Amino acid sequence: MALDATREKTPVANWKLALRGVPWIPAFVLVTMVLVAIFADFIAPHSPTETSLPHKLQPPFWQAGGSTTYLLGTDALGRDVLSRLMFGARYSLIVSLAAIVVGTSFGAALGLIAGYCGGWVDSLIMRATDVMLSLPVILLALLLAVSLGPSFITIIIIVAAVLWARYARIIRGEVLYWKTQDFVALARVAGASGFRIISRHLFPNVLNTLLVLATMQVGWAIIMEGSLSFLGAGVPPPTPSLGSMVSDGRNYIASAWWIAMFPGLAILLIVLSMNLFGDWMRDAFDPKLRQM
Amino acid sequence: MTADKSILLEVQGLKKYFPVTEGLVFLRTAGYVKAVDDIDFELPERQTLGLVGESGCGKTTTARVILRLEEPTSGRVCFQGKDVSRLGGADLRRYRAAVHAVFQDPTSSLNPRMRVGSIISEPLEVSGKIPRSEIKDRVKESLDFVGLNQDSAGLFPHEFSGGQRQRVALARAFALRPRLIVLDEPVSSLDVSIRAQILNLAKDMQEQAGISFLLISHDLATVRYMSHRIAVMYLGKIVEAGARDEVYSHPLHPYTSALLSAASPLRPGDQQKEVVLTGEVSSPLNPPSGCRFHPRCDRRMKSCSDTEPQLKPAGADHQVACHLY
Repeated sequence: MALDATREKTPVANWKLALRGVPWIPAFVLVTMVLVAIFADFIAPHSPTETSLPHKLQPPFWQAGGSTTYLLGTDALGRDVLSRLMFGARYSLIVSLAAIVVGTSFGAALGLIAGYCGGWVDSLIMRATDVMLSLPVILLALLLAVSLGPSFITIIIIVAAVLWARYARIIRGEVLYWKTQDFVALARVAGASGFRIISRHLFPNVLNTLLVLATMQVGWAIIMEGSLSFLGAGVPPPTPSLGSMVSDGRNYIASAWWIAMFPGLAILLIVLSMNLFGDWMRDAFDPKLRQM
Repeated sequence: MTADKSILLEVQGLKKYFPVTEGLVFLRTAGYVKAVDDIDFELPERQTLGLVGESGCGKTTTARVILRLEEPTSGRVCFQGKDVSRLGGADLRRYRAAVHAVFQDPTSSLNPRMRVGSIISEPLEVSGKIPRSEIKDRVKESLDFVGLNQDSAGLFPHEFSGGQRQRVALARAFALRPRLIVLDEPVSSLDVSIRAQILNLAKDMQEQAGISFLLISHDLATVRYMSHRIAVMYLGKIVEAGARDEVYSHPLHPYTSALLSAASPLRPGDQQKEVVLTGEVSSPLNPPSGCRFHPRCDRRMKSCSDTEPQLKPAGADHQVACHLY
């Protein structure tokens, strides 16, 4: 009574299978953003930091007074909005992705340990997350920024420090469920170590949740970075980031809407695409949905 | 009958109590659920012991203690003469390699994120006894033994039916050729038509590799088909034990008789006296005094509610805990 319904598996078929159902529009937006961020040096029409007061507050090219020299207009210091957008995307993407990678890894590791070990280890880690979640985020960020000095790395650390507690909580909850499954008991019966059970049995089962959470938090991280920049604790000016551009444009929103609007739209596009992409990733990583 | 066989597993005075706590702020122990309360049994090499009883009588807890998933409250589980709960280091590793298990729900027993090949090879990898180069062959051999296609190794558990998943679970338990496999309700979640296949597979394993089984089931037909010896549990106690045919043909304890009469007869036309039990199983939190079965027993006497009967020999290879004998 052998199982005869086996499907052909070739590298090409696997590759096609993996790509099936990719949300093309979000994928296109994200790839474009990433490419622009990487190659900003070559494609940006102007320097993102060079000021030119005679050309300040020029509108986008399609409005009266706009020119094709500055396609998306200029800001209060005469810097090209399009070029700043390209470089801003670079910093925002790097900061948010790095922060999420750091925060997710740390939070997930603690959540897995707390859920698996239980007892006082669990209590200790969960009380720590309670403290983290009840601290005023901005105050904590400012404290860290002041003590570490505003820099690229500082922001990554701050955003990760704020993020990890949520991951730890949610992952612990998931682990508590998976831990009761028979395959965990059977792994122990087979003599598997705690590390093996966590890495081979529990982690793959919470990976879905982790990925979805992580993609959902990209937008939050970008906004967090913007808030910090606005408060002077972020990437030091004049380096552009999407968040700080929105903050800068805030004062001119009535007279020069384009300064805040374009970075705002860029954030919207990135966050939306990330979320749609995250949905697809969750399904693609689930073997039950990855059908023949 | 079994005196000349060497004993593989010996359970002596095993107790497992679970504390029940009360209170919102200041937790205090309000009592104990006596899931397993002082049981003894032996399992010889190459034999199958069937542990029968209704839900909640402590069968599974017994299995979990033997598998070292729970610590016993008191008593000992000895495997090849060594106390299992004191094993450590190399001895524990040896025990983990020698004892495996198959549980009731094959869906929960197989990690949904692992391919069948990795599921089966896990005990082999963990034991460290099998060289890496041989693991693949051993997995193939195991799959072959349980009648699954070689290509199954690359599939995920959800791509199989319930019966096939239980085959995978058996293949995993068998891969390392253990001395003992604990079968905890191995066929209860399967269609009747599939059960015999799984049970026959297990029997083949026993014959070929000399594996002992501790078979836990509430299904009397399954136990009868598989076991050499039988122990009947009621509310954390063993009430009757003995060789299979002895117990099935001459049940002594009123509970055993009731259980047997509730099962379908071997041949549909067979007449049998029906004993219908009244009442519910008493709570293991507060078991009845004396014999735990007395509130439901149709043959109870005065002494039944006062003194607890001990398991005593009653015939060749037959023991019963009842004041009637």
